[in-house]
Amino acid sequence: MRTVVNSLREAKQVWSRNPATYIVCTISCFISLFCIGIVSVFGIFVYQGAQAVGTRFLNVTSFFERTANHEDINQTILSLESLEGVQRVQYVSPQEALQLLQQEYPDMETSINPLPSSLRIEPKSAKDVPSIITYLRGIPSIEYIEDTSEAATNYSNIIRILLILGIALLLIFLLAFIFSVSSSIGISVFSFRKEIFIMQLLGATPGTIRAPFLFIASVCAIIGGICNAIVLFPVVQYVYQFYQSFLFFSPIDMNTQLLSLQLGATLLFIGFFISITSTIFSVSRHIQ
Amino acid sequence: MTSLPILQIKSVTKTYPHGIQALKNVSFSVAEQEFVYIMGRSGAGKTTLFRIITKQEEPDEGEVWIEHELISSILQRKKHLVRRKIGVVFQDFNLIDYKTVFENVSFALEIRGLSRRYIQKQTELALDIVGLSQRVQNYPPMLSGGEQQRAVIARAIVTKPKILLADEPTGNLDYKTSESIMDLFSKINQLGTSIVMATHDLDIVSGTGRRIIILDHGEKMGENRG
Repeated sequence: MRTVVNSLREAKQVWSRNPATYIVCTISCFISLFCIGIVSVFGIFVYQGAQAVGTRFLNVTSFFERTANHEDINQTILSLESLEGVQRVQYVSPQEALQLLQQEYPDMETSINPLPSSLRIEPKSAKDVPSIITYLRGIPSIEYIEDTSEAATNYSNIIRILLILGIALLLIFLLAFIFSVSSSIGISVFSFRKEIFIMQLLGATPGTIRAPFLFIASVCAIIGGICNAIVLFPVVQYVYQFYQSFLFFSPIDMNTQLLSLQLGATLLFIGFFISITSTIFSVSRHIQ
Repeated sequence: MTSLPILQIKSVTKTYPHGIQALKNVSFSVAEQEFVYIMGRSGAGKTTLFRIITKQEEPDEGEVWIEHELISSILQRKKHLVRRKIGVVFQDFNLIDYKTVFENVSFALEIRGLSRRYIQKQTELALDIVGLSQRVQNYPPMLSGGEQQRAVIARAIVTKPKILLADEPTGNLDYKTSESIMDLFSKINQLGTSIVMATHDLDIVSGTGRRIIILDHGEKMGENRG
């Protein structure tokens, strides 16, 4: 307990020696964590959106020959549902297909229905599409197969690029955070070099020497993290609304309040952990 | 005086980068309660020797023993244990300006996590020995050079070290103040602490009858009596 009290007293001295440095450090912590938060929010929304849109985009439609009867169709549905890569199979009758067509082209003459029965198959992922198509080609009652795997692959490539970009941004902001904390602590260690030297010669343990700096770094990270959590809360709601209006055709359903809380708490923890680690590294380098 | 060595330097050699040889095969020992002077001009290797004893530097060759423990084999992360056996006094005082005299002295005990009561008692005792009982609440810049050196000595002895290293402790002081500081070292030595003092001031060592180890260009040139 006495060691903690002594460390706090030393931390007060460390703080009073360079207050501006620690204020800048706290602001840098806040900005870095906020940027990490924003990139993470976008990442989460893009991922959720990708799943929602991907499901819409990715499907295989198989059209039956006009001679195909109900038994053929039912048997095909059952066999497709038992396939591993199939998520869902939806039967579209000629009448339903015509209704859909009429919705799109109301002026169209519909006295004769030329449309065949079809199956709309949702694969689990794009990589399941070739095996489903191969399987469908083996069914004699199927006349024609249409798939959106190419569009879905293009779409998933765009998502992948966005995710890589997001990870790169996250790394940049993380590095900025580490640099901000370690350089602030570096300045403070330098200004305290005489005291550190005296402490070393008096037989202080490395832990005792590090303690005041660890305390300061923790305070900067915690204040920065709390500010980030407070600011992130309304920003997440705003980004969510923007995203929903952007992806109006495939809305994502998320509890943004819980997301804000979880993200704020996670970033607070990450910030605290990184500050502690980079402080230990900075002070140890000087002690060596 | 007993003959048990408290400090043993065995064939210590230290060469800095660019081939500057600071110490060349230096050997000597210091017995319990002995007062030894290390004499030599600037660059003779006195400070390097002290830096090696306090594990601020490692020797290239040779061994350093303190209280029958080979300190050159102690791991870097455990070097604080070696330093706790030694009291150190510098020429340029090295007091912490934002701490009072009392806080400066008690700091040596505080970093060891000792109880407040023990710290209070030992600090008062050390300040009494050095004659600074009346200046406990003063800050270092408010003290004279002699008083600052006394505060440093109090900080060095408050932990009751077996050995006290003093690197040119009177280098920044006038003759009269130097004399009083030397009297204080004699008093501390009489109380049972071995003292190794580096100096280049012949006036300090002459007439003391104490052992003098002479260093020149990193080599031990011989031993003498003051």
